[in-house]
Amino acid sequence: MAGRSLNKAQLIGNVGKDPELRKTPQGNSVCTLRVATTEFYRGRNGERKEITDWHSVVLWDRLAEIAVQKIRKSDKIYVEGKLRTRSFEKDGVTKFVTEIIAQNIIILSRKQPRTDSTTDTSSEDSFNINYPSDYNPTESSNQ
Amino acid sequence: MPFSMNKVIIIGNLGADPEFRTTPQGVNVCRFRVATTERYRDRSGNWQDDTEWHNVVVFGPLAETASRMLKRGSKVCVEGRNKTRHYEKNGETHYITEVIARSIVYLDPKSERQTTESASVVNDYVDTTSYYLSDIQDVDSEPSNPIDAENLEEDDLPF
Repeated sequence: MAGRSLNKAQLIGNVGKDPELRKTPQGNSVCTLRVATTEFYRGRNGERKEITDWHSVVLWDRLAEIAVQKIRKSDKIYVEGKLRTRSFEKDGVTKFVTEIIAQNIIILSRKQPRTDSTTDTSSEDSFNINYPSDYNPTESSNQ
Repeated sequence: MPFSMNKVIIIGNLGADPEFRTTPQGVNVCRFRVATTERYRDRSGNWQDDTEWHNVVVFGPLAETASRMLKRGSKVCVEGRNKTRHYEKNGETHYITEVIARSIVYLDPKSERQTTESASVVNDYVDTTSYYLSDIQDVDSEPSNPIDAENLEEDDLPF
């Protein structure tokens, strides 16, 4: 029962630390952003509460390469992508992790002005990737 | 001024009948798993299906309706927020990410719905912001039907 389906996640939040670029054995670039979202709500007694959720956002290839140049800790970004759950073994125990595979990122505000002249100075703060239809790094390569 | 957004929208089919329960605090909770399938052509030109399973949790007024309206195979649209929590099992810390539903649209044709009682309900919305897992003490410590490890791959620790 394949049919039509939709798998979309959208976040606006703050980046927890500077992104680091990694390479898969197959040569794909990848980086993981930790993004915090905060929601405010009223508790049972009417008091104001807030709760912060942390999300793992995975960027592949060109998106990863642009992100490590442009995104820094505490920047506020918009992320659009899809949810993906994968498993891994640690000390003989199978664990699962759900991540957002980014397809579109917009930098909304920067915590600090960039002073490093070697980074990309273009004012374009929105970048997205239209992956080819057979592009599936989770199948063809491993981080 | 801090602002943020945490939004997930999935459209897919239930893998099993939903589970419904009421916590000792009187909060209704409905859980089910939804499969979304992405179809693409591989390098040889053959169609491949990439299926993703999502854990959906519905709290409060939405939960009862969801448990009545949905069954294995039902098509549904869930909008909500992404939430990761952890639990201990055999001394190990495990993480699980769930979609906490804010609104649900039931996509099955009327004739295929399980009950006529609420057949007029097409979509359902409630502000579930205040339903946090900390408020619901005895929430399941682990998923009853863990995600199939097939086709998933090993990786380093993300946390």
